[in-house]
Amino acid sequence: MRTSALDTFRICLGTVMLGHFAYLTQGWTLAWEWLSQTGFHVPSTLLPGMPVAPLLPEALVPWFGVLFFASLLAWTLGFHLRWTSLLALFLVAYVTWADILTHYSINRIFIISLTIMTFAAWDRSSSWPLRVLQIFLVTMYFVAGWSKAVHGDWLTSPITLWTQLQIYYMNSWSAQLVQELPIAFWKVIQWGVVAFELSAPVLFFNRKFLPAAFVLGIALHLGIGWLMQDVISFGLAMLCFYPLFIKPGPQTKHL
Amino acid sequence: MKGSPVFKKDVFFIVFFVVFLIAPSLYMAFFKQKPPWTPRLASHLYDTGNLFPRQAIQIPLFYLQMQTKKDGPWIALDEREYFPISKGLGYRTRFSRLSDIYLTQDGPICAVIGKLLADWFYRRHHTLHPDQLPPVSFRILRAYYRVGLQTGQGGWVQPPIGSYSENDIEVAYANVRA
Repeated sequence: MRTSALDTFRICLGTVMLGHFAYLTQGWTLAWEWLSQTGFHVPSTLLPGMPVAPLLPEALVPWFGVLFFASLLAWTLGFHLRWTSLLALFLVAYVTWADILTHYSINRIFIISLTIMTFAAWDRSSSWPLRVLQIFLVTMYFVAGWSKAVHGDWLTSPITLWTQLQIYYMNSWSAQLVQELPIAFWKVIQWGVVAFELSAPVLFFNRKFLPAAFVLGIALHLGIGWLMQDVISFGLAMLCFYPLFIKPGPQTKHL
Repeated sequence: MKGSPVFKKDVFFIVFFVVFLIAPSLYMAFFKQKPPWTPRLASHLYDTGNLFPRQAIQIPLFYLQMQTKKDGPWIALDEREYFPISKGLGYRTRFSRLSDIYLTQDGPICAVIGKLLADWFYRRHHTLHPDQLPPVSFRILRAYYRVGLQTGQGGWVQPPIGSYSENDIEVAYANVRA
């Protein structure tokens, strides 16, 4: 039996999650600071509207780590999907809500994707999970473009990208390129990024434009990974959605 | 096929996720507000795309200091001893993230977080250095960093507090131990 698009998505996203959490916690060595009273935590009274999970006793942190990575690995490999997807969703939501300080957009992508994939694991006869994940991807792009263009200054300031590349995530490549390339170059890239993100609904849902969407999207995420130190997992998570747009061949089993 | 149970189920779930995932994400992007029709605890899930929205010519960076004697010198603390660096956080720490969220502007939230952090710091410092003089006061400095001063080698390195002019530094929070 050939692998379906949802299986490809699961294997890809599961691998990204495993890598992301292992890297973020530096092989789980930072997990004590993150999940137990060892680290500083913002009290729930200062987080209105946010779910806040209780912290773990220090002795449980390594055992929790074993369960966490084992469940993600089992889900990635497709082992008892109904139960491992539920468990992986619960544990990823837990680590996200136990600590607001290590909670980024990528956690939200993981939680939303795992929620949809959990429904999908219990209902393998329907095609809605594929559609919802596709719509979710283009919505993320559109919203990102809208935020940059309307609430941000990507269309009005020529130096937004140029300055953003020079702070926390600057690497040796970006350090060199911001010196050597003119501001006009970065301005064109800025506009190109916003144009791609705002037009994503048209590019991804029109078969004629799909190859262009793939080329531009892959270039965008690889470009970020190349020019921003260690910001690769977000782009890889986004790229996991791309196989969902590839039309299955005649022999591919449809979910 | 239209009208079949599978078709109806597909339509139901697509509508469900459009109402409770897609539309709220768009609402949040358009109006910068939590969508009123979604569960309160889920509303933070809808803000997925607001990364690097504005130019950053000058950014606030934060520094921890303590005194071990009243009127003694302020001693710079190595933030990384209390908040380990994570490469996955851009070679920064959870304190960097905390300060970005709560300490960039003076106000009641900054004061509350500063007090909680001071109380935690006194305990943590004692755990890490039981043989040293206990700190009698603690403060957080906010320094305004101008971009373009890094080399990009080996990840982000926060510049030392001595590299700023006095005009670019202010006290974000100060605490004297009771």
